[in-house]
Amino acid sequence: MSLLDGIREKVTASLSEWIKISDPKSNWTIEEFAKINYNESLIIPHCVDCIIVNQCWFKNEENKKPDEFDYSKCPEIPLEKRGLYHPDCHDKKITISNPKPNDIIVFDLERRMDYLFNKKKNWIVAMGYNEEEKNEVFQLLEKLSKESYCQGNYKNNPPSDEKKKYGFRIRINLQFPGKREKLGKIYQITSSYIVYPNGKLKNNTPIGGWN
Amino acid sequence: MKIFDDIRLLKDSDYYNNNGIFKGRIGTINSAEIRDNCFEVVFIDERFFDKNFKWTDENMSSVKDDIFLEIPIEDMEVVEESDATDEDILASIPLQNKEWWCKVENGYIVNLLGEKKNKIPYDYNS
Repeated sequence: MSLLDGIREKVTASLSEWIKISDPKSNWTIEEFAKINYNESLIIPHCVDCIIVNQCWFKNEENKKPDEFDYSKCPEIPLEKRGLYHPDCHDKKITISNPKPNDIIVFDLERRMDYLFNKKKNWIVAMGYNEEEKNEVFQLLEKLSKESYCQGNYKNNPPSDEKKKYGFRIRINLQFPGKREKLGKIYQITSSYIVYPNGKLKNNTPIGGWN
Repeated sequence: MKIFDDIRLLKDSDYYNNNGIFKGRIGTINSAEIRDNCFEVVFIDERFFDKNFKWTDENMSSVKDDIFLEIPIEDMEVVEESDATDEDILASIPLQNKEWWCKVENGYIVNLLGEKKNKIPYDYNS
């Protein structure tokens, strides 16, 4: 990298609103954790809270990133032990350039389209689409999900404590366009994902509610 | 029992009830893999099951958000099988690892290698 490139990268990062969570002492991510059947005993001394977000990208705003440990409730913990998500946590927030839709990889969405059209067909039809347009709906959902995520138009969707080890969930708000007799209408729907490392989003439900 | 099968919840518990889900409710298996003897199940707005219900621009915003719960295998029964093939299941399993437990057949938790997890049928912890 040239000196100019280095300066450009630093300036871009300083203007960015996005962070990557990174634990320099751990190679564990949610992907690696899945490989071992989410077996918590195998990740010691690392913890679930840190592993599920390691190398993941978040907008640096409240409710769009993991909650940090609240040390105001534990003032006795010395400063040098105060980590990001728990005492002695190694995770760091690294500023990254604002992601662009092309940086994002959405997966598991296409294979859920049959389910969507089977269970929520009447809803899709009410927005002006028909069953033959499954691929068009898929492409729209994928494109809108990437764009909306990059715009930070999402919220944390925290699961129960028992389920948090399966990944950090978000609900992305989508402005879904109507078609045919609904042309010109915009529907405020949500799509649920699990954040995976380095810009990957695992779809959990294509259309999971209303924004 | 496998991904995308419709299931009926067979019992109540604080965990289910506090999430607004009660015995008898129909849901759909949403995860390919079995984790800790549980599938993830999604419960959608019950109006989606009513063939006569008409969604309109006026009532769409009243749709209830999907609810995701981890349900132990013994707490549910299949009411409608999906047509998901082993190939579909494999594609949805983390890292396409055939060792993941992913189906329940004749009381056994099995994987795509044909291995059985439990020794005694219907006793999923054996």
